[in-house]
Amino acid sequence: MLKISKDLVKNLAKLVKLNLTDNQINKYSQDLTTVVGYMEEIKNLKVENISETARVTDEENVFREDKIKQSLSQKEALKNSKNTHNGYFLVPQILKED
Amino acid sequence: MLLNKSIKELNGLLRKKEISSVDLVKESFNQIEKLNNKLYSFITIREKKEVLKEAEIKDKERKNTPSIVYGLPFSIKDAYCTENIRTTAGNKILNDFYPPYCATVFNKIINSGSILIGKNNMDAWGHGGSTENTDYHPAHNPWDQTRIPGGSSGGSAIAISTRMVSFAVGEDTGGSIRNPSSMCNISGLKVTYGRVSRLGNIAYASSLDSVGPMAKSVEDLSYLLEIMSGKDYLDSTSSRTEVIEYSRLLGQSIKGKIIGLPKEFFGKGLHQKVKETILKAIIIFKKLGAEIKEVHLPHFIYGVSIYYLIALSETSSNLSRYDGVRYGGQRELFSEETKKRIILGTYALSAGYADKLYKKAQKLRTVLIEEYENALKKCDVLLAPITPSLPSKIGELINDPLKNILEDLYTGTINLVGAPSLAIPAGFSDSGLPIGMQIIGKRFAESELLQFGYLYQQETDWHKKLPPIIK
Repeated sequence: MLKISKDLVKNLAKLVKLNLTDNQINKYSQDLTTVVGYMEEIKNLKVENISETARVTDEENVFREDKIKQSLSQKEALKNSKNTHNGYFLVPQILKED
Repeated sequence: MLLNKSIKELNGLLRKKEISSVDLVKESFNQIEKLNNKLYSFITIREKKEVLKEAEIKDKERKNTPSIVYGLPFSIKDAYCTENIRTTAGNKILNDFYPPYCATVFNKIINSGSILIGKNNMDAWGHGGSTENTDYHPAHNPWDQTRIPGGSSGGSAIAISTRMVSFAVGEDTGGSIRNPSSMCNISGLKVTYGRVSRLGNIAYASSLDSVGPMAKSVEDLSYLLEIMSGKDYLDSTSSRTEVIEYSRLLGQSIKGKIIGLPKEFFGKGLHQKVKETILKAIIIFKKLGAEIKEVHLPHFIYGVSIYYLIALSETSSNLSRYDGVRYGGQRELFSEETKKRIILGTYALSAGYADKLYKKAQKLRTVLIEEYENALKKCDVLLAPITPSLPSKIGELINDPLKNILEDLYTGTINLVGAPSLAIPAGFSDSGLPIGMQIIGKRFAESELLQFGYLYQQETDWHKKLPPIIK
């Protein structure tokens, strides 16, 4: 049976950069196990030789003319960021100095 | 009350100068000032002075344009980017986000001369069917304030139901237009995927998200759809299919047309009163000359699982863009429902589970598409309930994760197949709660759905009933 254990919640939360409290981990494990338990109803359905659908649009090869158009100015593009420096977005440090 | 009048009536009165846009905007703000702190329809309301000034200009310049919605006050779900007007998607992450551009659908309505009043409350990112999962106060149903208004476009449904605006723009990923339309007694249209551009719509699940109008009647919806639809080269999934004059085709007869009743929609879990309401509507459609036929959608019963596996996988990916670098706050600000949905979506996509869950759901999506196509070969439209039960008490769904997702049983599969569906009022429970129904069609058959809905609204007056709070 599918079960979303507390450890699994912790691991998944790490992958998607969410810091969860112990209470949240407990609650999510319970709630999500209930939901995936329900979703197991599809387990025994036969789907061999059926193709996957990712989109329901009929549009293909949608092209436009390769013309330069007005786009956002640097100021507009940066205006919603909380951390900028000399016209750049400032990102958190990801490498540590030894 | 002027805002109780149809778009066509208001346009007529404005052009005859019997009323002005200033009158309409004043009425809008009066309703909002009276009711918004009870119902929580809006997250952001524009400065009254600024809007009145805009209305004065519209009154002066009206003669220069034939647009039927010129000078009418409207609101839009806070899921759409509006340049330099705060856009939150219902979540504190975007509490101080002022988009540098406008959604295409918003531009189209503004270019038609309508006046924006404000941005409507919603379940954050569209995650919910109750407008409780918002960081800006849970919204309340105007028909019974202890109950949910439906969601996720709940704020927009409240605004129309209480005549705060003439019309609104909603968004439907798994029922988010139809569900609150049903619970607040208004009309709403989930369009064919691609009929309206999604550019500037803050994404929930990109292969399911559909933009659509919400209004007091089917007639109003038809005018709005003409304005909103069309190809947008900034959204490659938007369709090149021709936009027709939906409003002009409204009077056409449905004599001899066949309405399919999908048997699986009327099975276990459907509230008796909702079922009775649909059966009563059938009598009206028969009177209008339509024929009824039972059809089958065998995999429909798995719809909630298929829908959620796909929607949550897509949302976990879409919401990864909120990294707090370019815009918005930190990821800790995601609401509880959203955190759960991101985790479940990531699980469905993760190594070892993707084949069993996400990919399997995509294959079952193909099966559903074929089943709907087959059903719609045997009939012209399908008639079905929108929600399995009456509007829940506030707090009920948040505490019951399974009931919470089963709310989407009758709506989610239609997004999976990309078909259009029209939600219209169909009656009331004994306790006076609204009950809606949906008319589902073939892809790009909006015109046909609107014809069915329009004729039904000529025979009934459910859609004219006002909630007790404004009587």
